[in-house]
Amino acid sequence: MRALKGMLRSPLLHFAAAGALIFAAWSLTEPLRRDAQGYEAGGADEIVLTADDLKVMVAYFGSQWRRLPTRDELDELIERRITEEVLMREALRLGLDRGDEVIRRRLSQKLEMTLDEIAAVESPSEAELVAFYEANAERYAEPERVSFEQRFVSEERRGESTHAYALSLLERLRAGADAPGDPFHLPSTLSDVSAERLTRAFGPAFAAELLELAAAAAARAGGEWVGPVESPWGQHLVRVTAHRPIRRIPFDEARDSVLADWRDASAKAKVSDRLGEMRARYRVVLPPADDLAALTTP
Amino acid sequence: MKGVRRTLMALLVAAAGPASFAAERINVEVPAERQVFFGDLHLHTTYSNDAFGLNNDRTPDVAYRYAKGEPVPTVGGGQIQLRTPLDFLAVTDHAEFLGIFHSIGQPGHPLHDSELGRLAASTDTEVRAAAFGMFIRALRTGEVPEGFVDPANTLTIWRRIVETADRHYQPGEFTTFAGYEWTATVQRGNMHRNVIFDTTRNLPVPFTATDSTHPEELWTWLERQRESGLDVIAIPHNSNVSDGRMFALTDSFGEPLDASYAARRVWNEPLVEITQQKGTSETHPALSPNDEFADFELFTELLVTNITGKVSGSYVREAWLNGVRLQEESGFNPFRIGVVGGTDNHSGTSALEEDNFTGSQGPKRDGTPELRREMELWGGLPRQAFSASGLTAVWAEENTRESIFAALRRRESYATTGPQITVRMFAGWDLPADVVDSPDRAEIGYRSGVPMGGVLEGPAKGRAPTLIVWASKDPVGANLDRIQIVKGWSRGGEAFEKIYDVALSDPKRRRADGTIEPVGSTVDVATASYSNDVGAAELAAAWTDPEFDPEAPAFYYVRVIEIPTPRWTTYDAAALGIAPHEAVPATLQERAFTSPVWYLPAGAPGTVRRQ
Repeated sequence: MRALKGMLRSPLLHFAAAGALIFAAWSLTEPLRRDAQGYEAGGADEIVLTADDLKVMVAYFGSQWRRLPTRDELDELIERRITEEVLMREALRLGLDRGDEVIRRRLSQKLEMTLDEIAAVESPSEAELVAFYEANAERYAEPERVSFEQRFVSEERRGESTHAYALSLLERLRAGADAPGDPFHLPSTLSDVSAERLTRAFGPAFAAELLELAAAAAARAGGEWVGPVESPWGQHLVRVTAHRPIRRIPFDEARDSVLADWRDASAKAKVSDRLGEMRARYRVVLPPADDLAALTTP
Repeated sequence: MKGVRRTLMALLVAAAGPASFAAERINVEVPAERQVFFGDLHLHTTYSNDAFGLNNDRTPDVAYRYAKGEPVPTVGGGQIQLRTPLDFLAVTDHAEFLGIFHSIGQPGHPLHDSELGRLAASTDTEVRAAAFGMFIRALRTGEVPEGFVDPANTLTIWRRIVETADRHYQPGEFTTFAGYEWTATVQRGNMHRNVIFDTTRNLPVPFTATDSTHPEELWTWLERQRESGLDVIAIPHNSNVSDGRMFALTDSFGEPLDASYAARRVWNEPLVEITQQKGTSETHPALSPNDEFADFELFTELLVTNITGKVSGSYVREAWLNGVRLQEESGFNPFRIGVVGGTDNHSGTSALEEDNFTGSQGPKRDGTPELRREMELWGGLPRQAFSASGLTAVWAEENTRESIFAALRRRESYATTGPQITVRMFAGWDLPADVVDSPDRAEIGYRSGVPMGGVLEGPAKGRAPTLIVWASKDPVGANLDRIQIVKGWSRGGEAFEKIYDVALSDPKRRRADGTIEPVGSTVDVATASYSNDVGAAELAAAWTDPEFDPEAPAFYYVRVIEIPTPRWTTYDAAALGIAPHEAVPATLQERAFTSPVWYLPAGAPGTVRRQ
């Protein structure tokens, strides 16, 4: 344990952690190809650690400590691994793995997590990334934006005359008069507001109607006062001054987020695929459906 | 040793003092154009060891996605999604042994094969809880498990938290903050603070409660960080379970408060979190017997005990009152602090909506109505005692880290218990009463007064201050019942409070004797529904203090009350087809609390002489 304490105190060296993890991931796939008893090299009484095995251990060490181990530390890792191997084989010989719920669960969880880590550091090809970008186009887009002016007619203040007042205000605005309307808690001029922000600030119904007006206004050059558009607080006269539909972000600009999202999605897919593959190697035998029904509540 | 510490503190105060007055007077070009933005400044993910112990595996990445309105997976294969996304979020994980349980649960960690590691790797809720219990017991006996003090792991997790905040920052659309919780508990009294940075560049490794449990020493660390050019604040929370310590009238070493303590406190902690899932800390019926709305979402048991905490020293309004009393008596106010709200959820998701409440303790603990119905807390408290609260609102130029942080700095902020209620308030000497009817009211407010969080100084010139205030309902929420102004002042060494109902949904509700007709309830408990047939969508008022005493230091803050709506427990009960839990009310009146404006008599210590 002294060595570990030493590590805690030692300054962190720059260590190519990502490289080490990829390395670890590659190595970790190895045991899956071995047979069920593992360790094809060496007989029952032989413990063989290959150079690749050591690389895995070093990579794990690096992912934790961000540096290579010292020679002493490597010796300690090897010693610990051998002890672990001996104990495991003795335990298997005694049949401790069979019928122990905790060990079964631990083993399956460990493999599941390992698979998860493998996927998290994989490097996709450019083509794979582009395909992912295309398939998730909505994520890599600049939101729809609108700039507009609005004049408010308060239902609390105007009551039943709200609509009539809104129409007269509209007339005045169209005639070019400077009609401020009733005071409102949001500004009368809003620039480059995203559709999402518009929905949060004005409510979904107002936002949908304004965006529809904005799209129509853009089509016929816009700029005129229209309305009234209803909000949760009253009615608004609006004049759209600019509108920009959703803009796709080019792949090169979005590449970093695409890669992060790809890894995220890939991790989930790979784990599920690998589980599927492994599962396919087994024929599952269950008791008849009636017996299962007896064990459950409807 | 103590003498040395004092000297050091005095030097730091000397350095920080003038800067604080200068910064309180920042003027922005067009403050009237400021808009309100809503967010959560208090959320835990799997990197908080207690959240991990609650079997919550949600990461900061999930937290930010959820806050932005993306659906995220929950227990049972379902998905949860906010109806109204947030404008900003700070993930604030407990910094003590940051993320260590998460790490030892991963294969490859040196402690992975220890007993704790084996327990931590489990996905079983009971096993995880046992691991956390072992850890807490070890801490109590002072035996920190070997390997838990792991600077490399802290650094790795802290970097990951900060990088995730950066990755989700979309200036103009969604703001993230790097932050953490300093989790000091002193003899069961909660002294917790959230530390929020104004940047994500070159951040220090967190100063934690294992470094010190004294807030003054946290401040010293914050002051040192500012020397590198960044800004950082600490926000205390859950004063309600501090056992009277959060707003005690001594410092944490038992020494009396003085001017330098006050200067340091208000600069390092300009805000307090007034409402969150573990209760609302505005006031308590024992402190405010004449406040009919004082009995709101109280949470009085000290955490993980069945001990009822000391009331005095635990609530924000009382602290404000003590602040003006100290101002009158001694010329300093250590509690000139504004308010924010936060969820303090340990689920990695900010659940604020009563009708869309998805639990606060993690999907596997309370992610479904069934789980929430079964669970018990400590000391016989039912799970139902938790609130779906709270939210921070700021008046800021734009939705960016700089703009929102500046709003927090100048206390132009308020808290709500969940709904996105808009409220704005100004106080001044020359505000005409009809200004609330003018579309330029905000511009006039800034020109002739100070906004919430500000300080209004004499001379009063024989006049009383006027407050102008307006409020609008949440666009997808309930109508408003009323606007209140809560005034506190100190005269002759005694502090007083009084509440004025300044705007009602219907003026006819004001009876001849001055009492107010209740707004009425439209709630149907069985179906957990309500209508906006009562209340108002907007309210506004101009109010001139009828009992103004120019010699008495005072504060004024606004409370906006919604009409009654079903509590989250009532929505749960309706979903399950059962009666709501008896331990909690079936309905609640959600609300907003603003940061106060403080009145400082002319020539009082702390006023700034004008050139």
